Amino acid sequence: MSSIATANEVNNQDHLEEEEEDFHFDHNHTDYEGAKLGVWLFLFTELVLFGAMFLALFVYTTGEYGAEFHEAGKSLKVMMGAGNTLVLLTSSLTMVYAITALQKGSKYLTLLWLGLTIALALAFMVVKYFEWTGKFKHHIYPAHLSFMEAKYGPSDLSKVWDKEFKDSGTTLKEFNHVPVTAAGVEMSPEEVKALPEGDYPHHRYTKGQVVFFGMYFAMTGLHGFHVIIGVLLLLWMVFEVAKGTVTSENYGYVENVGLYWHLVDLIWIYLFPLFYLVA
Amino acid sequence: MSHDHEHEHHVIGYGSHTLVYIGLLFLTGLTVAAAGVDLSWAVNLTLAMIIATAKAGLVLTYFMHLKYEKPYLQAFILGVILFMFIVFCLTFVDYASRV
Repeated sequence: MSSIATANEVNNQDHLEEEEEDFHFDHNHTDYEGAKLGVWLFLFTELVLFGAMFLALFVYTTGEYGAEFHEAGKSLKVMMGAGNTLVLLTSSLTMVYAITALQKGSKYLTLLWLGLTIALALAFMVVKYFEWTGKFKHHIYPAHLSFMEAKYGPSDLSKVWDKEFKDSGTTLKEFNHVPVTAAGVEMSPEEVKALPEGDYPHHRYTKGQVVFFGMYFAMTGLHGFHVIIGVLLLLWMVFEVAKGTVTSENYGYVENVGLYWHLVDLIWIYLFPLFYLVA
Repeated sequence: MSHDHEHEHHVIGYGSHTLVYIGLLFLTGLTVAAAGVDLSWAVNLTLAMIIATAKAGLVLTYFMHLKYEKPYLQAFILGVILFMFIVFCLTFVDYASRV
């Protein structure tokens, strides 16, 4: 008796799984248009998220920090930005190639183009890695002293150290990577040591430059995060196409991941000139 | 299924994608070249934004196949972009009129 019940249950479960499969991957049961509309609705929220940051950037660039943004922007390498623009544009091309290949029913070409898209996305992140670490080497990174300076005002550096770094194990030497005098002249370690007790050197960056790099890290960081999410989505598509669950019958999945991927490209299209060129 | 056939009309070939891509490369080159010319700062910014918007238009129209979508979705997307534009303009009206 109980074994029959178990068999029935197993049977039922099989049935349920089958139905689920149908629901997810059978074109006849998939609302192609609804899915696309849903993705667009999500993309709208992304536009507003980045839009708010772009708005802040525009206001700063055209407003009080214009000159300082201009100065700070010169430190970004145009060739790296342009190279990454090329990489992302090409990845958008391989993305649409993948959709065309899938629509034409060629599984292996689809996998090839999807794979190339992922490779280009990773190349983008590698360039970003070198850009960011390059900045770190020049002692520009989030939460550095200069950012604290903007938070507390330049005259209160000892307070900054007490509040933010005292208990973190950071030595005072690490804390002041590039010490400068009030006039902006770089100080040697000996000069820093010679400062009276309780006195701290100034930092080389102005408030506007700190805001510039703050926006740079926040916006390219959020964008980079989207690139990583995009890679995961693309990997998911590679998996489904390889398995044969996404085919020319229900290419909408790849198309919708493509929409997301192009949005990532769209955002970079504006980030590149605003950070690398205009400044 | 009738709506299956409807989608099949939307297959865009490799060739037209490649053409759009070449256009995007050209505009990227143009924007880098334009930034090298030292016009007034406001002109440089405006120029860069116009070229970026042209590129965004290409991506939206062809890569995101807005051109082949139904009118309601096109109106929806353009509406959101217009809305964002209005928000940007209003912010600048506010910002510029502050004492």
